[in-house]
Amino acid sequence: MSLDLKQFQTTFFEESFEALDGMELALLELRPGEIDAECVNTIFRAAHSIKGGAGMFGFAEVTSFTHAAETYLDALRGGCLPVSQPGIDALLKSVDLLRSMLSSVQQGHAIDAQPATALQSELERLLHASDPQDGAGVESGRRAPAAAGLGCAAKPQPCGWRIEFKPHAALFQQGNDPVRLFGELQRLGALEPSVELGHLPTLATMNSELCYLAWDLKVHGESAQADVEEIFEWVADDCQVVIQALDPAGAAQSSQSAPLATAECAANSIASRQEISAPQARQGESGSIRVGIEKIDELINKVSELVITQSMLTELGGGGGGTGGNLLQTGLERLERNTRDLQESVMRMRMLPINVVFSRFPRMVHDLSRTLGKQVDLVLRGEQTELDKTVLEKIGDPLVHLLRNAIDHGIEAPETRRRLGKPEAGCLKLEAFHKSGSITIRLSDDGSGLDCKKILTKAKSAGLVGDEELSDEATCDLIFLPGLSTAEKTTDLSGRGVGMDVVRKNIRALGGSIEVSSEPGRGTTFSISLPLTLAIMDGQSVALGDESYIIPLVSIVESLQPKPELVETVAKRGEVFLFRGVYVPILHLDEVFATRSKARSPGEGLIVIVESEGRRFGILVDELLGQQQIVIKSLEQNYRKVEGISGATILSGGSVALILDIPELLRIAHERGAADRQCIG
Amino acid sequence: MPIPTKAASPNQAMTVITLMPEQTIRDIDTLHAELLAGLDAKAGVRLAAAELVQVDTATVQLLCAFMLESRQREVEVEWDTPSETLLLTARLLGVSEVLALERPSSVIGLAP
Repeated sequence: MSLDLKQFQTTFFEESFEALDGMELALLELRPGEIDAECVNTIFRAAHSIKGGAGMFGFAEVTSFTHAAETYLDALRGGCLPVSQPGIDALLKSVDLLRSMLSSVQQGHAIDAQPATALQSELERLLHASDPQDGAGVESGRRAPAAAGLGCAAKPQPCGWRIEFKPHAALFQQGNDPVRLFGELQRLGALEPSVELGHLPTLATMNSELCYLAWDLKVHGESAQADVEEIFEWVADDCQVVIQALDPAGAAQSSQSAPLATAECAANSIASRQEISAPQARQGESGSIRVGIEKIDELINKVSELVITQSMLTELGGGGGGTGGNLLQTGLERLERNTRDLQESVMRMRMLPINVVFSRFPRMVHDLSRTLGKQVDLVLRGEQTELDKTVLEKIGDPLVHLLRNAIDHGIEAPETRRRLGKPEAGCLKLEAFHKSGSITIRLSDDGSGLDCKKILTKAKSAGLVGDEELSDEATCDLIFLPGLSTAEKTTDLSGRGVGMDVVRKNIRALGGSIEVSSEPGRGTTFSISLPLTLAIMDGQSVALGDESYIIPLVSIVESLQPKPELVETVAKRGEVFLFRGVYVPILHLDEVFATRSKARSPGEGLIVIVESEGRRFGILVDELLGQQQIVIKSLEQNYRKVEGISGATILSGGSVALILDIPELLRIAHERGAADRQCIG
Repeated sequence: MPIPTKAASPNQAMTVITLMPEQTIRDIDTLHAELLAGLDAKAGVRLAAAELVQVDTATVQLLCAFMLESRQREVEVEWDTPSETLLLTARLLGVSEVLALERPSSVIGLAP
């Protein structure tokens, strides 16, 4: 068995990106001139953790730059530097740079040293600029001298440290390597290593991936205890470390030689143990583990199979009578309940808090509002609301677009707001909550609102609507049509007439919907409704010949038996049906899928009216079979992509039913000439 | 330049175990097997480490176990041009003497 260190690097990258997100959020909380020790500590810990991990994996550029940022943060933490806006900006830039550096390392690309050098110089300049004495003594490689140079009260340092380092057997398997730790120690001062070989087994019996060695190390020189501790912090979970101060003779201070110092040393040692053990305790308390998504999906698949098997058993066992039959029925009911509970629990494993997406917005709003010279307060609510991972990954971009639009076009400049009697700072509220079995994300601003008159004029001139009168609600909805923008000037951010149609399209692709409401001068609100998950859905099963198909319930407007007099045939355009005063095209599924249906004309079957992208059409089916929650299986992964089909599911009888892809069928209907836009409502 | 632990027998060819340029835990099983076989080499073992540019503690630990056991079994082992990386790593881990790479050096690095 050979060990793949990549898995540990993957964890390091994941944790580092998370730490950077946390660092960024905390930086955005900082206010110039105010001291928020907890906030600064959070930022410092994030930088510190990245530095430790980067050092462990030998990412020297990342370690070096993080060290520079950490030096600045340490001065902030120690109260030697005031919190300043240039400092916050430089640290935010540091977060961006570290993200970029880590991405480069992750992808195996070389790191461009120039930006790091420039930003490192800026941090050092800021550090010196605040030095009331002479600015000297700030050494980028060391934290303690930096603090000393800034007039911080420095404790007298001992002349070195003795470190008892006893790795756990699994140290190597966790991706840790003492060579790197000792290399870091050597940078603090002359290193005197003494190895303990007593536990080394014979070559034939040893497991070469386990660690059997231990060390007694001495580091000479005036380094700070925190510097020694930080080197071992990354491996705290995988070793036992005791750090003691060395006396001038080079011996660890002991009760025989220095009784007074012993208490201090003992205290130091205890403090070391406690501080180094802290991450372990934190990890233990977090109550979560990292699991690969593919493992969860495999589990979901297995449970889905179980649900199907259980449904089959219920059908088979349903007809039995007598005592045995009753017992079987009771058992089957219990099995059904337990299986459903298990399925729900497993599905929840794919759920993540929406904060995964929301957390990037404070920085974005901060940067955009500065660029545009606006003041914007972002209020986040319901960050812990959970959504399926796939939905979360795909909802980010539409939300970014809506937020950018709101800041660029919705919220007015401070002077305009003052003139209008509004607070200078605009308010953007982004909230998530459960509603009717779905998740609603609502984005509201207190800006100028949509100009319905202008939207209607633009839409008419672009030929998107006729001369009919539209309600304000319907007019606002026009912003989701392709090619409509009311922005007077295009900016880098928005107003190019593309985007809102894509936003709606992306949200619909997730099985969701978006609505907009606006009040002139009071602001605009977008409400997005999303399914909790993409792995299961509510569907209507329909029969077509000998086959069953599933129509997503969310797409269905109505199902009906059409009166023959309401069906018309348009030359070369197929059949249309008068539905609520508007003609909608009828799609014959048997023609699309080259199958046989019993109903040859609308009068012989049923029409299911469906809606996609604001357009409606009817699907002719033989009969409706029933509604049920279905588990979606990928057809592409198991077979191949089939036009007009989005996936498949297994019905309780064990047969396979195909799930209709309504947007795709609309496109097919359109291509076949059945979807004459003049006829569509 | 070879650093012998004991003079190799002139009549029989020594078993040569060549360390790869990057010798780490990733490929440790192969080296482990080679070293185990080396313990049975009648004419001794020559460890060729001239190309070694990266080595980790797991590998050094394995080499330590090999060296200790080879001494017990009186198997001759010699180094063929150990690379600078190996010498530095052994010093850093305090195992230079165990690996017979150089005289023990109690303190490494420069005092600040």
